[in-house]
Amino acid sequence: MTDYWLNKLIFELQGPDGREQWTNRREEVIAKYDLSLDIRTALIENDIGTLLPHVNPYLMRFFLLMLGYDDDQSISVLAEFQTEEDRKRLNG
Amino acid sequence: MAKVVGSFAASHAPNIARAWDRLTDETRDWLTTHYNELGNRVKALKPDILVIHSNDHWINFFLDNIPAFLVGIGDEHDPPPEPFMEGLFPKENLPGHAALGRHILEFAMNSDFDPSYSHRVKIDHGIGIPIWRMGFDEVPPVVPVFVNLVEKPFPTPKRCIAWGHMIREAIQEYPEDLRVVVFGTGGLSHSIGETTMGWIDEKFDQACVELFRSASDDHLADELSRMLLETGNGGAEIRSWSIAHAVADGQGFDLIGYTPQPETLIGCGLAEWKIAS
Repeated sequence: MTDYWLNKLIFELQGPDGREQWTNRREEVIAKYDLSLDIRTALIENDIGTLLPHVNPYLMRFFLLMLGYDDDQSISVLAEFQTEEDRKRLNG
Repeated sequence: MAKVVGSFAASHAPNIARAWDRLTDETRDWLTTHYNELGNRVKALKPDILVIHSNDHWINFFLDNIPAFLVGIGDEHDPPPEPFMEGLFPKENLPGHAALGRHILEFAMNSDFDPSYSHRVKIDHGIGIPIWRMGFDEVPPVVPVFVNLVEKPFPTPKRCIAWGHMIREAIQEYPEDLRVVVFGTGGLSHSIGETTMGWIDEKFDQACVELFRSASDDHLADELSRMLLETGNGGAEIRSWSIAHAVADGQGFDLIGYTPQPETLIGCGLAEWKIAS
């Protein structure tokens, strides 16, 4: 289920000082958005598995880059949440 | 009257720009060779205007308002704001063509399409990367057309094909004597920000190429609708290719190049459709 405010937070971090804000003032940034406790906690703890179902994939891609994940790390962290159906698709 | 003189498609993966200096020589050479070939073909057609279909990547639109189709009707467009696109264009703003943009918008409305429009869009990497890699001395005016392919629901392949036919008719009805090249950018297969990220679905890519070579519109629409359910999310961008296909009106497909390219995370493809003289 898309979480409007979570996506909004990530969308707005695309600005030039987004990484600086997230690195140095994360809780202050989070407080600006109407987020559930679960999502706030997941943001603080970099809990990608909790965030994943609620974030547009292209924004998730940006979010992982902003966290400092390179492509291999992004692929690896997301693959942890593959379902059996995903694996079937990957194996053709 | 204006004339469609070319119809092309090209991939637009961010890593082509973001990772350019880190790509292997082999990948950089492949990209250089094939985008140069694309650029040479386009420049040989001496286009007065480029009509480029792409998807926005959370640059112009957010969940507050996402148009299925949007026509850029400004005289100029803002350059790509993504940090990895900085400095890739010789001019600060990209030239538009307000008159053709508005003509396409009105023609679309009168053809029972309902696109949104904008007097000022930001050109993101979706349009910017092919323009950059083609190496124009001077970029022709661009009429950008954004198709929503990042947040579902998306326009169906059937609707995109119909849009492509409408675009051709719109251009041919434009009263000024202009040479117009149409683009669809994006694709081929890729998977971004989802659990299968990094997946390049070569089977999907090869099937798309075969469809563009020989399928009827109905068959193309049906097969893309079916295949898109199974492939990675970036495969949605094949809709832009289907628009370029429809603009050419089934006159023949020439694959300029294709390679599965893990460094850019995409099945990288470039193509030209033949145009009836």
